[in-house]
Amino acid sequence: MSAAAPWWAPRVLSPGEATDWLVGAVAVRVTRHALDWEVSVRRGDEPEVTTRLALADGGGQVTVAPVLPAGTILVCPPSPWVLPPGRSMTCFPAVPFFLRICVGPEVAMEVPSRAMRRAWIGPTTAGSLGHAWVADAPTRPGPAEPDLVVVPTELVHRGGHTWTLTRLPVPAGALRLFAAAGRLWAPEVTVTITDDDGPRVSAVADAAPVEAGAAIALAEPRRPGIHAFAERVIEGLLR
Amino acid sequence: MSPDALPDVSTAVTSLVENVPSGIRENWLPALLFLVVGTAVARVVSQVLGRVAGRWTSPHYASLMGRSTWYGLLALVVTGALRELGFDLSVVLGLAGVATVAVGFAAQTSMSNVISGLFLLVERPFELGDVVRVEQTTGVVTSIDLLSVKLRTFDNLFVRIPNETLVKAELTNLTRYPVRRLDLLVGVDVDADLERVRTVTLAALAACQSVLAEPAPRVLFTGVVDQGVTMSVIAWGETASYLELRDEVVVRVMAALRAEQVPVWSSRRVVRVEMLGEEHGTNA
Repeated sequence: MSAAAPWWAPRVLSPGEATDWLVGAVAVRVTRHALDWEVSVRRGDEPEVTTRLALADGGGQVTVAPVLPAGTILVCPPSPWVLPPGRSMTCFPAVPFFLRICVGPEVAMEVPSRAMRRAWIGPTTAGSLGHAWVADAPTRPGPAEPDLVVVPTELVHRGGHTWTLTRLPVPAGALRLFAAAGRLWAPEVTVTITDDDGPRVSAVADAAPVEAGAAIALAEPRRPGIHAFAERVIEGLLR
Repeated sequence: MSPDALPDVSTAVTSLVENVPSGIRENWLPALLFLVVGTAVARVVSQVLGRVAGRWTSPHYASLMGRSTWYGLLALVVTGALRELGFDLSVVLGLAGVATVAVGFAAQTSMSNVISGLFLLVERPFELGDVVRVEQTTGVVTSIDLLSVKLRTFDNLFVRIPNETLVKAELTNLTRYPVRRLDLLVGVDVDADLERVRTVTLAALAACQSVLAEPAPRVLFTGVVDQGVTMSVIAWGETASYLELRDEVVVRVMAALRAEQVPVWSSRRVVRVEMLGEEHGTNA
């Protein structure tokens, strides 16, 4: 492996060999034994968790790569934004991702880059499980952090009343993932605020955001747009 | 029975066989074959259909589809076998009308259960695998049948509830919605700093793995009783792990209050006896 290779590049291990990753506060060690694999994960000061995996040999190739969560992440800014009617703005919340550990083509496990609390997205009678993440939504990208993905978000207020934004939905499952300029990026998301529905995701771009410059694609959406669209149609019919 | 009686029995059996309609005598073998093969095919078809349906719909509908197919095909097979034997089905159908009335009177309770079962199927207050509470019984629905619904309680008892009871009684489906609210009442001492208690409790809830961040937990002070203030702790969690939610919230909230030395009020009464010295004949 060359010294310049990014941390998500595949590595090849011989039996008895081990390799380490350190992404933010998450330390991952993968050891290849003669007949199985061992994965140890430690996040910050939390105790290390070791798992033995009875996976195929996979040619000794092991990959730790970033993927976004399947559900929605609710970004909860400590200081809410107040938007007057008709106002639009762009903010750059940064959200955690999952480290997907693969042995050959098989997915061994996924570990969140930062601990997120689970959250229910939608009405309590129907909805889906997602994550809540307390983070600022600055108007320009913050300092590069290896364990966060920047999601450029355009807020469009179409309602007639001033809106206090305390929860910003990030449709992580529908987003591609890019790497550029020393950080991870997601495509731009448009969130429209109306008086009836509050903030709702109205559009998701496919390409890397302009702010990222020349970017390389790392991961495809977990829930392609057509699935999300079908889910919305079914949800609408059942409502 | 005397040996002299044997010829009479033999004659009677012969006479009975001779009096059987010729259609039955000639076609009993094909009819039996049709019945056996038809029943086997009906069983296989209904099971396959039930399994295929299970991949696309809920177990409730899959079971319903399987059973409907089974009973429908079985009725066709029996009808076909009777036709093979030469029975005139128009007469049978005519008799069926009369029989229905007679059976209806005789089996009023059963028919009431059957009709209630149909209402339950249409209304669909629960599905297979749901956890329901009917009067004093709480359990997992394991079977929805023509006459009754079967539950397995959490202490592993089998409970059969007639469909009629389910239609009449108040029924609570505990697993209909994916998330559920926990309301925990805690009494804190009347002298406690209530805002501090609220902050400490919310921090404890935020540390609970099973408490959802959204809908956000709340802490409300709801009243004043004998020796303290009642605090309502409201937290949401996944229905599937409701017991874990309750356990974790109680443990963490009480630990946090204890760590902050917040006196928790309980129904325990403290009786303070003050001795009044000589007046009561004692010397301190």
